[in-house]
Amino acid sequence: MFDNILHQPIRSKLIATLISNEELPFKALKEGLELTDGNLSSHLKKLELAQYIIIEKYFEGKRPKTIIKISPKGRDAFKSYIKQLKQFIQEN
Amino acid sequence: MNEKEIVLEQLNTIESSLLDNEKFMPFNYKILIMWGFISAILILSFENIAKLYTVWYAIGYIVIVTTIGFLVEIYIIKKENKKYDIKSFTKLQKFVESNYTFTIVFATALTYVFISNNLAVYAYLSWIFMFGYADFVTGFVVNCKKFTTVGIINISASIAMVTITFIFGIQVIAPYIKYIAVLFLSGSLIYNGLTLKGIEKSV
Repeated sequence: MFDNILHQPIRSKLIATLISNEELPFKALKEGLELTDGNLSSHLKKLELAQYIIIEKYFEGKRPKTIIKISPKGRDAFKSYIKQLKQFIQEN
Repeated sequence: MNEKEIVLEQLNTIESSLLDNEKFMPFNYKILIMWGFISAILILSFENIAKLYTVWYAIGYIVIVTTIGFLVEIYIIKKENKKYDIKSFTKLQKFVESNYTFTIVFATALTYVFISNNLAVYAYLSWIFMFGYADFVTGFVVNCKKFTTVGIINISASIAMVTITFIFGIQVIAPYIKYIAVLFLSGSLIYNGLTLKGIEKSV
């Protein structure tokens, strides 16, 4: 009934945070959502597989950096997910 | 927990993470395009109004036109916020609105001083500089590189043109200043409006 990828508290929170920002570094997301590296990575992987987010990895000097952006598909999915949630509440 | 409770909790989680996030700012980029046209109209007409009538008339004209712009903007923002069940403005929206309001008020006051002293060129340059600075600050706060870049371009251009007037005199740029102002001020607003429209920072 609902989008399985988004119908999960951490992932919906993650997308809500990403939607408010042009892009966010992995570390900022981790701190903001108070998650461990592993936990955040596994949620990001699921969102990336669904093409809801874009993960960009690059080097700043010798340090690897990871930037996460929400994709247009992710925005649309989140929009319709909220719509579905609201509709469900109205109908029940 | 039944399905309804789960859905309600999910909605609360989303809402709180959007609202708790001070960076949340539903925005319709059509507003920028609207301001682009308003600024072009003001730039191209207000000096003529000052010449035809008085400087006070021109200032009144700026105040009326910008007030109409703000009212339309508030209406669009409220409509946009409704989509997220936000009844008032978010903190970030309040900051951005105040930032531009103070800039307009100060730029209008400066315009009076410059026009009254036959220094219209500096009125236009001060608008380019101040709005460049407002864009620069907004870009940092809302985490939008395009605003910051446009801000830096406008700040640099206004400083460069002020320097030119100091070296070569006001006459060098006076005949073109209106068009320069339209290019930098209105152009940057319309450019941001069109390019950012595709990646609206809203749900």
